[in-house]
This record gives sequence, structure tokens and C-alpha cells, in this order.
Amino acid sequence: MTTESNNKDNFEKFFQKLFESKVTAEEWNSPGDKVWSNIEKSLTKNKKRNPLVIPLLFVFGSLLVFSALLFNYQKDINDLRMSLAACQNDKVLSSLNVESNTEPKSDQGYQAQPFTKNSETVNHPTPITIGKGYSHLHHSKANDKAYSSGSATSNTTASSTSINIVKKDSSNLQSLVTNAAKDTNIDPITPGDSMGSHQELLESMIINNVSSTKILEIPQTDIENSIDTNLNFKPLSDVQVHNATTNKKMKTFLGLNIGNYIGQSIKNGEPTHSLVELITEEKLNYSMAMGITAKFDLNDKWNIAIHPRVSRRNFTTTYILQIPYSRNTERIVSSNEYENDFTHNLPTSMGSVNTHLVVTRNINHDVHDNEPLVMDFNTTLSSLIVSLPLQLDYFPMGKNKGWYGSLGIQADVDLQNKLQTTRLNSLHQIIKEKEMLQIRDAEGYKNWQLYISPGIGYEKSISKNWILSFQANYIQGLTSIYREENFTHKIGGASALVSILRSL
Amino acid sequence: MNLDSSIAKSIQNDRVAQKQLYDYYKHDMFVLCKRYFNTTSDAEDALQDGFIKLFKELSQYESSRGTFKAWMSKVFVNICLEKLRKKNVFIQDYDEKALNLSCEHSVLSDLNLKEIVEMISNLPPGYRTIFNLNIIEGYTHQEISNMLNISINTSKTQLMKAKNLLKRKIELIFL
Repeated sequence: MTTESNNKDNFEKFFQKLFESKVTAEEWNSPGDKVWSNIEKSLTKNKKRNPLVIPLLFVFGSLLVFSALLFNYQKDINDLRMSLAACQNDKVLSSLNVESNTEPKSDQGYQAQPFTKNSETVNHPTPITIGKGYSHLHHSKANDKAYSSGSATSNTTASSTSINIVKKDSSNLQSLVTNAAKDTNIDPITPGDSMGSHQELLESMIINNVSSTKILEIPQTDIENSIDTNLNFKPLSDVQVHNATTNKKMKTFLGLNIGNYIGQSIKNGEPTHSLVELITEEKLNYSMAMGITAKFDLNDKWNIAIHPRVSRRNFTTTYILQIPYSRNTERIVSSNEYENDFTHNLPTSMGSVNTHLVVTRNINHDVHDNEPLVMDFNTTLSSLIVSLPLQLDYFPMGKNKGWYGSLGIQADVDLQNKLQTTRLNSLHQIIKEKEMLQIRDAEGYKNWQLYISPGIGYEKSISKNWILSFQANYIQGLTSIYREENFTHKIGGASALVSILRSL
Repeated sequence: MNLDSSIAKSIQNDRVAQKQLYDYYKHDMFVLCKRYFNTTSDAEDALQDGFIKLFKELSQYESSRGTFKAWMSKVFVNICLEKLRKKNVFIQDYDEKALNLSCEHSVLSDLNLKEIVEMISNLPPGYRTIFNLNIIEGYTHQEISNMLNISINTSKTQLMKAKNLLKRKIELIFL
């Protein structure tokens, strides 16, 4: 071991051992009495906790999403009920070969016609509704004459009914009832059943399956083939079209998104710190983000969307330092070199950055006292950010029909950050060695932010269940990244997002 | 003083026990703080904040993971680093002459603790911080680079310069 390394070891060991042992109380190492009294005061004082902004925000967001889902669910249930009723209605009507506004054909087995009682006209005081109420009957005396039921037995069941089944072929009726029963989970009629049974079955089928307070009665089947050409049914096609519009299901979509962010800090107010003017630019570098998207239809034109996503964002700050060089603070490091230290505390968007610059001057390079040394340097804060944008979309032309506008609120949480790179430049010749020690201080920096983000988007169906969505947003910070009284740094920027979504 | 009992009572916010702990460790921790700051008021501030933090986080102390003093020192070192980051010193007043004298252990032994602490606290902040963390607290350069967000090489360079400067100061005393 050389003498130098021995000295080195002794030197380090000396300091290590020196502070291991307990310090004897002396005047120079005894703190003032105020210290304990301040500690006591601080421990007694109940500090107010900061309001739980983020948890509340998430609770609010969750409630909003839950409400949207509930609303959507209720709407789905109602629509389902309505469409079920309409479907059953349609089935019955189509099973009965109800046609309206068409010429009756002689070969039609069964035609629906207004029910008449013993050839008397039955004028219904109100339109009779079936299912959702899109079909009603109305007929005239003349028609009744032509198409009245002939059998007295059938008339006994007649009341204010709507449809009259006219038999042409009893086997067809059997088949009809069998088919209808299949559709409605009613046991099919077996051959040999009497027509009376068929009637009862068909009647019960209609009563059981049609969600209407009106009861459809089946008049006697054994009548002549006669059709009311002036039946005032509302066309079934209308019924179906109406059903189609009212049954438009409010959907939920889930998928992936990929996007980006870019921005710049906007400084407002008067900083109390004298060195703020050194900061020339602070910008959010282009950074990618990805996550999942969920959209919930509220109605035909509105939906709620959430795009939780993760991004790695780099925020670069550029400073220009103009240091008045002081020869008085120089120290000699060798026979021809001097060293000097400069320390700054800079309030940046990433919190306070403390810099310790060490410059070395060659003894041959002269420099005046207070001569300004100009240098610039960058710092980059790399942050892992989780975002939760919640937005309301409006589709002026209806869903999946192109453009939409959106307004959202976005909560960002900075999970992890690190001061990543430093670049120091100076054209000043005397500075030979440039060494910048930086210590980032979390003081003044808040790791969560709120933004408001208006935007526009374009959505397109790419298949029955898939949609593609493009969106661009302006993002404006509502909270300040660096917080100092009367001085704020807020982010203003833009983001873009592409989502591919599947309906659930 | 029964340390375990005092710790347990301090966790329960027993002011007497807290005062006992404070009185027992205040000199050691004050010296620690003085090594990081070159003024008594800064060191007292750090001491005050350190004890407040210590009492608040006392329940996190596990005796199985090391001595109480070691754990306590870590709390105080972190407080000192936090305060150093906030500190705004524009230009360091520092002047010295280059000397080429060796620094023997015997020379060091002649110095008292007060002089040594003063010498350390009068180092430039960067040097002083890294010297304290590496030589006295025993953190590796890797750990220091993570704590201070600097490269390992920067940490090593700063330490080397700190040691050189300290040696020169010591040698100056014995000129």
C-alpha cells in the first residue's frame, strides 16, 4: 500500500470514526432553547390536511360514469321491452297475414278484418292499440256489411275487438297457429284439435303475448273468405320503421387508444424569485400516450367517453445565465488554474432546480472582475403520467356520422419523475471546465394537475360492431405546475387521439 | 434513559418522553446538521424540522433494521438535503491557497471536533454535501447519484475535490 493510499484511508477512517461516537455536550454543539419550544408548538398544532382533491375528482368521475351506465341500462331495458312487445305484435300480425292498404287476394287463407257483431257496425270509440299502439282499426258500416261474421256462435265472444280472422282453409289456420305458437313458445296444436281449441289457443297466445290492455278476440273461423279492402290498419311497414327508430339501442364501446401530447408552459403573475427571468423557455416535448377508451351513449347525439392513458412526458426548460464573474471568489487549484463556484436556485415548472456550477479558469486567460459570463443550459424532467380524461361528446349529425365536438376535464397524476439530461453551453473562452451539479427540489411542484380540454373529432363505423375515432384537443392547465404566491406556470398545449372501439 | 420505553411513549405523543429523546440526541443531531450548513441558524432549523419529522414518523422505526441512532441520522440527513435544495446561495465566499503538504492522521488527531465540523461546513455546498454523504454517512456514489439526481462521475469528482480542499485547509492550520 502506498503512502498516498494509506493517507487516503486514514483520512476517511478518521472522519468515519469521529462521528460514530456520541458527542459530548458543549456550548458550540448545543442548540438554542427556542428549538424545543418550536418543536413542541409544531407537534401540538393540528395541521389542516390538504383537501382530497384527487380522490374527490375520481369519485365524481366514477359517479358520472356510473350514472351514464345506469341511464343507458334503463334505456336499454325500456327499449327492450318496447321492441319485444312490438316484435310479438308484428309476429302475431304477420302470422295472421294482416295486410292493409292492399287488395285482398282470393287465395289468402286468413285476412284480418274489423270485427263486426252480427253484421252490425261496431264503431270503436277510440282507436284500438296493439302493442306499442302503432296499429289501429277503424271501419265503416258499408265494410261491416260486406265482411260481417256469419256464425252466431262466434259472435258470442265478440266485444270491442280489433281483428277478425276469416277462414278460408281450416288446415291453414292450424298451420298458422302452430307456427305462431312456435314463435311464442306455445305448444303447437296437434292435428285433430277442434277449431274451438285452436281459437282458444290463439286467443290465449295473443292475450298472453301482446302487451296491450286491449284484448284481441278471435271470431268464428268458419266463415267465407271475404276481405275488407278499406281496412284502416296502419301499414305494418310503418310500424316496423317506427320500431326501428325507437329501438335504436344505446351502446357502450370499449377499445384502445393511442395519442400524443405537446405543449408549453405559460407563466403568469409576478414571481417573487429574482431568477425567474433566466428561464427562457419551458416546453412539453412531443410525447406518446396510450390507454383504453370507453364510450357510453347517452342518446342519439350525446355520449360520455373516458380515455385513461399512460404517457412518458418530457418537459424541457432552457435557461440563460449571465454570471458576473468574481475574481475574489476564485481559489487556486493548481499552479496555473483557478476554480470558481456559482450556485443558483431556479423556480421551474418542474419545481425548484438548484444548480452548482464549477468553472475552471486558466491563469493565462484574463478576465475582469464582474465580467458577465453568458451560458445556457437545459434541464429535462421525464415524468411517467397517468391521465384520466373524462369528456362529453356531441354528434350534430347523429352517432357514427362523422364530426363531433367534445368538452372534457382531465386529471393527470405524475407517478414518477427524474431530472434526466443537462446540456451546458458557453462560448466564453475562459471557462475550460464546465460542471453543473443539479439538485431538483420538489418544493413548489405538485404531482397532479387538472386540465380542461375542448376538442373536435371524427368517428366512423368500420364494420357492424367496430368504430374508429380521431380526436384533437386543446389542453389548458387549470392548476399551476409550479406554485408560488402570485406566480403560476400552467401548461397550454394540444393532444391527439386515435381510438378503435368495439360495441359491447 | 430507557430508549425503547421513550420511543413507545413518544409514538403515543407523550411530550415528556419526546423531550427525553430530544435532550439525549440533540447534540449529535446538531453536529450532523452543522456539517451540512455553514450557519448555526440553518443548522437549528434543520434540527427543529428533523425532530418534528422524527416524532411524526417514529412509528415506522423497526429496531430489527438497525440502531435507532442510524435510523434517526437518515431522517436528519434527508431533512438537511431538502433544506439544502431550498437554499439559495448565489456565490460562495471562498478563497484559499494551493499547498502541497501531506495530511497525516496525527495531524488530524490534533484537531478538535468543533474545528473539523467548521471545516466541513465551510466547504462549498456541493462538495460538503457529497463529502458528508459518502465519507461520514457511508452512502455509495450510486446512492448519492440517485439521491441528488447527478451522475456517479459527478459525485466522485465532487468528493475528490472536497477531500483535496479539506486537506489543504487542515494543512493550512498547521503551517
